[in-house]
Amino acid sequence: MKKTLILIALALAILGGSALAQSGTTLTIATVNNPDMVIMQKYSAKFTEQTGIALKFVVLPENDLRAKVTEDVGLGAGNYDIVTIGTYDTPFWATNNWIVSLEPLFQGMAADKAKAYDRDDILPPIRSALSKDGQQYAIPFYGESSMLFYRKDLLAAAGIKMPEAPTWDQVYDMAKKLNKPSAGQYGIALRGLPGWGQNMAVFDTLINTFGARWFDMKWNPQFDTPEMKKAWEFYKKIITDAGEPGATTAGYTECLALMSSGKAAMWYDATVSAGTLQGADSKVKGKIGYALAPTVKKSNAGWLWAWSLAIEASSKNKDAAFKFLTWATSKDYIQLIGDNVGWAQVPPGTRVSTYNNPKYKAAADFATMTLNAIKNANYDKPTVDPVPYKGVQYVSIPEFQGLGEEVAQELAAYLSGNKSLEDALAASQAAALRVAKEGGYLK
Amino acid sequence: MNVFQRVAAIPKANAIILPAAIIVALVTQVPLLVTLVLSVVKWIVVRPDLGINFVGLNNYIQIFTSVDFYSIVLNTIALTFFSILCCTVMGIAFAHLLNRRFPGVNLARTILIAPFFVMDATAGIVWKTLLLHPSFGINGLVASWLHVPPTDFLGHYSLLTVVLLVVWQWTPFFVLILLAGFESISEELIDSAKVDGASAFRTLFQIKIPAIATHIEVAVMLGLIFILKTFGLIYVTTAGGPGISSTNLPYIVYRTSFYRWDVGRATAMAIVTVILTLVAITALFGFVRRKTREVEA
Repeated sequence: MKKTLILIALALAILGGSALAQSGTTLTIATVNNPDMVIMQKYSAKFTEQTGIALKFVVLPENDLRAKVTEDVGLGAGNYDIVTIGTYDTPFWATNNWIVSLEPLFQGMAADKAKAYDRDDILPPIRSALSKDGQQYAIPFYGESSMLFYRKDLLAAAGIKMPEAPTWDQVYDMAKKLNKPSAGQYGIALRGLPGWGQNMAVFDTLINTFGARWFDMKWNPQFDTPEMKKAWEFYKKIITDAGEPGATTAGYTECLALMSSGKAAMWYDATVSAGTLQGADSKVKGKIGYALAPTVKKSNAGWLWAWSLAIEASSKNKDAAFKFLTWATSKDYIQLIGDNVGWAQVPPGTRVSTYNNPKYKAAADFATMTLNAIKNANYDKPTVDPVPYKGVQYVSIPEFQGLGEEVAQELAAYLSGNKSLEDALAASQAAALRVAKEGGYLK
Repeated sequence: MNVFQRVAAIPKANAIILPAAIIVALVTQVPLLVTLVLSVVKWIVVRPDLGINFVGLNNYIQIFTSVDFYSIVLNTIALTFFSILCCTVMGIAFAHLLNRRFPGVNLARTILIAPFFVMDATAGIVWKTLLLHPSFGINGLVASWLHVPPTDFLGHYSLLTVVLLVVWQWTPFFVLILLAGFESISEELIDSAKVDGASAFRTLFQIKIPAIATHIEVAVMLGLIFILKTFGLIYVTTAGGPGISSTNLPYIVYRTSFYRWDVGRATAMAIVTVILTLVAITALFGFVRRKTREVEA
């Protein structure tokens, strides 16, 4: 009996010691300054209340965040425990051993906690995009695809019926009809602002669906193909004939403002924008319809993206960090935000259960379309012809940040009339060839 | 003589400045040496598997054999030259206007120098979205009043627009320095010119401007140093584009560092930028000195 008591006391001491050790822990989290992350930061005090683990947030815009955290891991500074990265970053960060595999941590989870967390509830395409060699390296905080938003009232007034899966030619014709710049109404809003996460995100889905690709299976650049030329010509044609003026200064934020202020009849962009368009501040609340990403040759043209949380390899608080990851991406967190902020504002695109929730379905008329768009996105086979890379709106190689930026600038130069199509395509081809050679990809 | 004896032999006056000299050397020369070393290696931060390899002058050769590099150097020269030219001319004009007594002169001076105290990023965003944007800005509003399509300033005239913003931001700096110059001219000199029958125009160009030649020199030198490294305005307005139409040397160093993560190429570009800046400053300094001597003679 005495022996048993001593053992129990010892076990309690160890558990208590470990809890005390964690209660003094402070986690440093680098995250992006979008609305969902800001909400997470606001409600993170609940996590500290429950666990005693303090949190320190470093919140930055997307480009600055990527530069800051890449610098941190690449140069071995080890300033952050948890980093917010996307589906693009996760595979090569895992290859570089900058983040840890979450498998051992999931395996170490107590059975009741694992059951409550329900990892299998995470949408399979997103989970697959955040894994490498069958190991998951990041947990999605919110996920998205791309879809077409349109003004139901304007289309009805013009006698136009939007198909559920329109083609780009149909979208062009509709945009032309609805384009009335003198009345302050543009046919369609499309991103033209140069940046691999700006105009290239949208335009890459056009490249894919037009039957073009960045590289062939031997990593030869493919900017000199007729399909690529057609995609570039079409993007310029639709923006010039029916898009917003000054497109090369219109990024995601500007296009969202055009659509939510009632200045655009259609907008092709991230599914996550639906919440904002149907928000209280939106002038077009209740007037928005949704369609799948427009297509040409390839169906399933929508992109796939998830802002996700991962643990830096250099973190000394991996267990505490994992606790935060599983708290912020749990069903309970979604319930917390739904109850306190509103069901239309819960992080979308991560869990099947969110889309089965009647409260979410009632609050978010875009739920079904978002889920379909994410399920349809073809992350592993994004193009008509086979390619040696994954990723829809990017090429999953570390050098894409630089290459995507260069091609994005060439596209903007072509859109603004500063460069001819031939010159812009030749410069893009040269940049892609340089990357293929320098990166050791070219066979 | 060992090290301690050598240190002991240093004159006391020199010994006093030794700690400061060491700190200055550490802060300025060590980073320069590190930059020089990094400029001869191939190091892609996002590809640690490729390692860090010595490549000799390869980074420099690639820079000088790139057609884009010369366009970027030309952009930098054009941006700096036209900005300084406009700032100097407008600086002289505004400083001359403000160098007199009239009701509200202090308010006018404060309003005129205000742009200088606005941060680059803030000024860039305000100009880009509230003023020049064809859909949301005053640009679009004016175009709709006139029933003409709005002008896409940042798309079609990107470098010219960046020059405009730099001039808007830096003219007050020139005004401040040149106003001090105008105020230092003695009243007697101006009165003598008037007595001799010199017109206002002649007084300005033959007496006042030569009298503030040193102030112009200081304003141009400082303006050159600051405007050559313009970054924030470009970052938030054009991101160097479309294409490379508004990219200058500091911005391409940033893009090479934080998009391509090519440390070797970026540091080599930074070294080339420093050398070109030193050459420009030395040349300008010599030119201004010669002109000042001619005026004084």
